[in-house]
Amino acid sequence: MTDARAATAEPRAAPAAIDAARLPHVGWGPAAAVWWAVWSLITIEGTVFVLLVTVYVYLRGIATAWPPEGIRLPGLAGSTANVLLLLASVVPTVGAHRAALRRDRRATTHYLVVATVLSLGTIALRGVELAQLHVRWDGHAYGSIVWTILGTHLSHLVASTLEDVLLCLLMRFGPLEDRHYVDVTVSALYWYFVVAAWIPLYLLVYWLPRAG
Amino acid sequence: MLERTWGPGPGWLGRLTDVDHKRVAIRYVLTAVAFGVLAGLLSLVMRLQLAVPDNRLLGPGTYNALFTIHGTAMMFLFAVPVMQGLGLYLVPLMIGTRNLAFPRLNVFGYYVFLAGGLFLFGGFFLHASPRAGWFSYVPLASLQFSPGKGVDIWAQTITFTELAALVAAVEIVVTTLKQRAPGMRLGRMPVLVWAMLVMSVMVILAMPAIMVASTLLAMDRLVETHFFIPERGGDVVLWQHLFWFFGHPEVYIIFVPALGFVSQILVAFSRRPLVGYPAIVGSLVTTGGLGFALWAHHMFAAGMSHGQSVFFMVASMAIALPTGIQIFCWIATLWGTRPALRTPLLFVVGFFLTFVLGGLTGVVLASVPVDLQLHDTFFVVAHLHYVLIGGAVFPLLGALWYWLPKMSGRLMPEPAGRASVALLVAGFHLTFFPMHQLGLEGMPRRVFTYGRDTGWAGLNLVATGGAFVILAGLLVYVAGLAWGLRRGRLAGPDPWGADTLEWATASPPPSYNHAPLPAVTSRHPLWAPAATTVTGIRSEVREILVTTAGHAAPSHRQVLDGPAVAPLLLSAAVTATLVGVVFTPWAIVWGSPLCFAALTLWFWP
Repeated sequence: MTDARAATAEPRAAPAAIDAARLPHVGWGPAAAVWWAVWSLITIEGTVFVLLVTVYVYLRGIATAWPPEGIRLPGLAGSTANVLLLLASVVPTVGAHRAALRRDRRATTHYLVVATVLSLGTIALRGVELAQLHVRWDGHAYGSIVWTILGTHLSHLVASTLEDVLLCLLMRFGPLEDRHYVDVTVSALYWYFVVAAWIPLYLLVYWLPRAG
Repeated sequence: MLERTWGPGPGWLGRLTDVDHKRVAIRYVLTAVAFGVLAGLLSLVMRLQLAVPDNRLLGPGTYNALFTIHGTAMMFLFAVPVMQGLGLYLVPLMIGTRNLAFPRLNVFGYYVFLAGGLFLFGGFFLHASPRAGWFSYVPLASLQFSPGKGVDIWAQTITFTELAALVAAVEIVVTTLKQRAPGMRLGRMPVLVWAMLVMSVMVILAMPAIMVASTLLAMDRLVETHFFIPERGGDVVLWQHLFWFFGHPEVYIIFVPALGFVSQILVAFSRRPLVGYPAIVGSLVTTGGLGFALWAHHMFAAGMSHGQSVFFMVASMAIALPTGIQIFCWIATLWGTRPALRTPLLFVVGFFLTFVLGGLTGVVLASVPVDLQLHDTFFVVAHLHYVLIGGAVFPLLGALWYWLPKMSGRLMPEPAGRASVALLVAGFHLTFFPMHQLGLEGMPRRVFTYGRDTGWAGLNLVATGGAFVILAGLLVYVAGLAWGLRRGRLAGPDPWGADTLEWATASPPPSYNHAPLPAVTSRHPLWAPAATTVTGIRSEVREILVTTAGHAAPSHRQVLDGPAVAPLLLSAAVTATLVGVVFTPWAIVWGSPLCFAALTLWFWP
């Protein structure tokens, strides 16, 4: 009886089965599925930014004056301060990234809190930037596109900051698994993208009109 | 044990939250087909209107609404989602894994898609229909010339469906790259998986353009920006660029999976490996890349420089080459075999006959001087239906017939299948072939009627008759399915003697797909002498094997998420926000916290 069952149980018997039992139960970087998902998201959002740059350049190309007559150039004070703050925020983000790779809960939490505070600062400064654009979105297509570029990037700042808050709470209070450290590393990856994407956008919005 | 781990929760909530990719995918396909049927019925009403000259069955406004909803629904609610739905069903089975990489995200994507489709058709039935065509050209689609909520509903439907399409694309990309059976390196992937991967990458690169475009249009209409309003520094041709930068790749997003279906079906029924696998995969990738370089051939009539028109003309002609290469590979695969002429293969034959004609008129239209003459005539209507129905719907119908035995466990009845192929191919050519001539005679698109003195009455009547032959063919097809699903012969795991992994498991497959997990050593695992398996994957939790992206070497084990309510709540919050925005921009302010709350619930362990 048992012999017969053994003979029929696996008709396509395996010559050399692959044993996965000893494989680790978490993957980091390109080994992790979520790393590829975040890169997909970066590709999607990067495409959005490229399209907005294209719209900006297109509208500028058909305009007789840019900014249009009667509109002052966008202010450099708030915007440049914000670029510096964004660059500074990379430091604690790298700290959290590295601490997460070591699975150091305390250090990860500390760096994440600092990164969150700095990213809240960039959101506040973005408000200053909008006030210093000297134009509303509903006056001219120039205003429409600069508000849209700043607003779209702002939505990324807000989303990333909320994610940081969530990760802080998780690190401080949550039941933690190894995969949450992977989440910290890919969230850092996304923040690098948000910062890097802003540099060309900043040059476009604030320096291209000055270049003439 | 595996069934208890991977099966759905109890009761109706268990069904709503079920993360089994196969059940979600079947819902996707059924929902897309339902929207497609509605859009198809609208086209029948249009054909009735055009059957005789000076017809007053419909007024011009209603006719505009009908062709707008027909095009929008067919492209956004039927063609792309039905292809993605089949991908979501087949990819995990074909690469030998238990579920998609992000099971909850997949559930969220489905509900967002459903909400978007209901929103568009809800607007249509409540007389708030968009009427500016499926591409909503400005200035017609601006607030000044299209007052009311119709175009806003159109724009928001786009946001819904593109969000869902992006979710499905990311699922397919990540699952394909990270969860293939050990040994299934890229060069051993089934052609359909390649096709789904190419399609998904195209979705990731093309869909942002339409999301940006429709959002800018909605902002022009709702918060008084001026992107497309020339008096305030905007531009109308900018819309055409943004729309077609998405719109042309869209055609290939629909077409590339269909090419994958054709390759799989040909291999199964000719019972020999595909001739020129590297050439076919290369052609799919080339088609995907070139698809991004020809958007402006839709805009020759809008005016552009000589250099630009030459570039887009050459690119548009060049894309015929990779498709031609594939057709020669398929002919070589069939050459000298005695293929089993079953329904799926007959649909492929219908595809050959129809698509080659559509491809040829495409090369004709790519020529700028010809296009300027034929732009906005019925010649274009004929061309686009030849490529979309011939190129995508026929392979799709063949693919459903081919994989339904896997999905349902029963074979579909051959006589109904053959009859439906005959009726559909005949009805199709009867409907659309005369439109070439009508276009050459100057009959314009999107005009609700024509005068008796034009001489177009006869061919239009033929076309309308053909449309009802198509309807008859579809009814026979559906009747065949209805019979097959209840009474069809039991299929067993591999009724066609096919070569890929989805045929290794039971029909219908269990919730965990494969037990044990397979490993492969060839491009045709079921035709290889002996199969290897994977051991050491826990069955008491939702554990899967993750492999490397290129060589599919075992990397680590990972526990996937199970069912949860959060994806439902998030899709409800997103729906409330996106619908609210049509009526007040403040919806963003109260909608975002709702979405964040749902996300928090989602990610909190």
